[in-house]
Amino acid sequence: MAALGVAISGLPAAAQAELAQLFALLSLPPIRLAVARLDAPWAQAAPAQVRACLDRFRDSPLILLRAAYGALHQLTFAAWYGNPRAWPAIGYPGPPVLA
Amino acid sequence: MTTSTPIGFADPWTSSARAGWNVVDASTLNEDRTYEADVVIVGSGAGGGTAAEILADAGLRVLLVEEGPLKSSGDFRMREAEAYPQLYQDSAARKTRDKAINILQGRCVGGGTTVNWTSSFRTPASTLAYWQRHYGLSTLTEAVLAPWFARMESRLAIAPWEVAPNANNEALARGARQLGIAAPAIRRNVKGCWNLGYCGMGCPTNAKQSMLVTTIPAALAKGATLVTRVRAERFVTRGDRVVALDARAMNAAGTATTGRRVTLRGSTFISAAGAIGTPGLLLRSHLPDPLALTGRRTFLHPSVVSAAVMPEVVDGFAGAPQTIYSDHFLDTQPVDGPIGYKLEAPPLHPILTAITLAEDGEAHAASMRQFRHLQVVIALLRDGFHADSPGGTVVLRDDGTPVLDYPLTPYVWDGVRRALVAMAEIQFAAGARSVRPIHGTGHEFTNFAQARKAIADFDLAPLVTRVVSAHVMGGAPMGTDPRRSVVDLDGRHHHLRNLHVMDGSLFPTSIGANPQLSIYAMAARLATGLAAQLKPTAAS
Repeated sequence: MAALGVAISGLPAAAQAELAQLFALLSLPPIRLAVARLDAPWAQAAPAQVRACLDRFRDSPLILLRAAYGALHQLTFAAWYGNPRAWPAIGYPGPPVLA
Repeated sequence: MTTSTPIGFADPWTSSARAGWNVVDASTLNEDRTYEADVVIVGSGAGGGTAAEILADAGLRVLLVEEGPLKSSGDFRMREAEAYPQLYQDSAARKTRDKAINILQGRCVGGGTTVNWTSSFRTPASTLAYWQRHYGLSTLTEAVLAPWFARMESRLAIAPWEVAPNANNEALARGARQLGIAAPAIRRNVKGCWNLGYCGMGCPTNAKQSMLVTTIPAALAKGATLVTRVRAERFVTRGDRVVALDARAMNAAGTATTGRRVTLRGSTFISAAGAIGTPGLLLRSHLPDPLALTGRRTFLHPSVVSAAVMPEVVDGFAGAPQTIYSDHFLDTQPVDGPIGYKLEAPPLHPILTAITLAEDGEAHAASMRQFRHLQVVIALLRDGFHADSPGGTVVLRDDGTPVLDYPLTPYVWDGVRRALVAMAEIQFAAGARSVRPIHGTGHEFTNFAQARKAIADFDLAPLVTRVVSAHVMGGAPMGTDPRRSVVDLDGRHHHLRNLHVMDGSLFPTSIGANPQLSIYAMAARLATGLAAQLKPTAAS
């Protein structure tokens, strides 16, 4: 989560504002229920519910929801694989040492 | 900036000469500032860097302003998580308006040249011929441009790359050879390259002959001034002249302005802020533009991706990226027919690979576990040569920052489908165990017949099919006819006599090849002409 915060803080003001809008919108109970089909707050959602919601975003006919999925995909994987602790699992040795 | 040079390759920014250079980091300003010069250049990339050296050489006082930070070899630690926020627009996550295309664009001293993958091509003859036929660029013949290409090739050590390609590029060459498709070597702008493979994060050995280590230090040595971390807000005009550039200091992270104003006065102004930045700046300045041409016809070489799993270890992160290419699918069809595409093999680093793969969750993790065996080919589509390929339009957001609206049309998707098939065929011919066209939720095919059949039925769509770009071109095109162009054949704005454009926004279509050398040659030619005009005044 900390790495996600760092990834988001590097974005320009306009992109940060769009993300903030997205998260605020998805937290509003009526939207949460209608779009994500969650009847409880996000923090209480089971992994399977979150998974189902992400699938709905990804497969949505609405380009806006697909863009939301795309943003989460990009931010999550950038934050995860930017961290050297993620590298052994994929066999990446890290950058060469020059000195 | 670090002050030590770790292993003995010369970094001009840590040399003793550096002490005499005028460099201002605007993020540190605690009051408003005004600067004055003969020529104010906005942007320090391929266009601005080239122009700065030529104009400073002519004895003109040059001011070079750059939105990004000054970083050099000591800062280039080959880590994506550091390099993308520091050196790229929007942390390398710049997007078109509907978010369907991710655009890699530099934002640092040297601009795109500091982070590009070194691919160097002259403007293809078919592109120049199209410009002559359709845009009246009769003076831009191969013969006229040849000495300018030669000059910049010599300046930036652009030469054939004699080292064997890395396994990622070798697979492209092998697959193409199997199919009887030409796949020659790419020329590169490097000197004493270590073949590390981290060009996209800034060259740690100063081998890449970017603007950062060539023309910009040369211009500073001739008395030019560089102001970094400053965003060009708008040109202030009086009658048919620009009198000042109004700019704002950026914070150290480059995410917002600090509130400090920087005013740049000069007798001549050059916009070289790139093909999103330049149209954005012109639009914010409310310059005369009766037909609203500024920002229209902006091109991207929309690119699609095919990832293969090879039996052998590929290690696509190691060794020079993009050393082999194929123009087979550009050269075997007319330039103004169905969209053609260039094939190249990019570098594979963990973040870039992870965000590009289509899968998520456990399927994504499984794909990433094959990281060392991944072989990737990209197809760069040649946009702008057909009535159904008008490109995109740069518009301003509420906060004044520019965004490119680029609709993906059926004409483009037709090329995407053909490109995904062609890349899969080449990868299987190269011995791939499986191929994944980057589309939908991820599809893995184990033979070409299966892949071809499935790709034919793909429901290609924005944010379903991965589309990326690293080349932004057009938006302030040159031409003789003010009804169809923003600047004249000298790069001068049709309505403002001391405002010039010298960057990729000059091009009336995409280039059909990685554009850096096209920008260098064009900027060298235009800046030399401008210097000849300005010199007598400057000397008086």
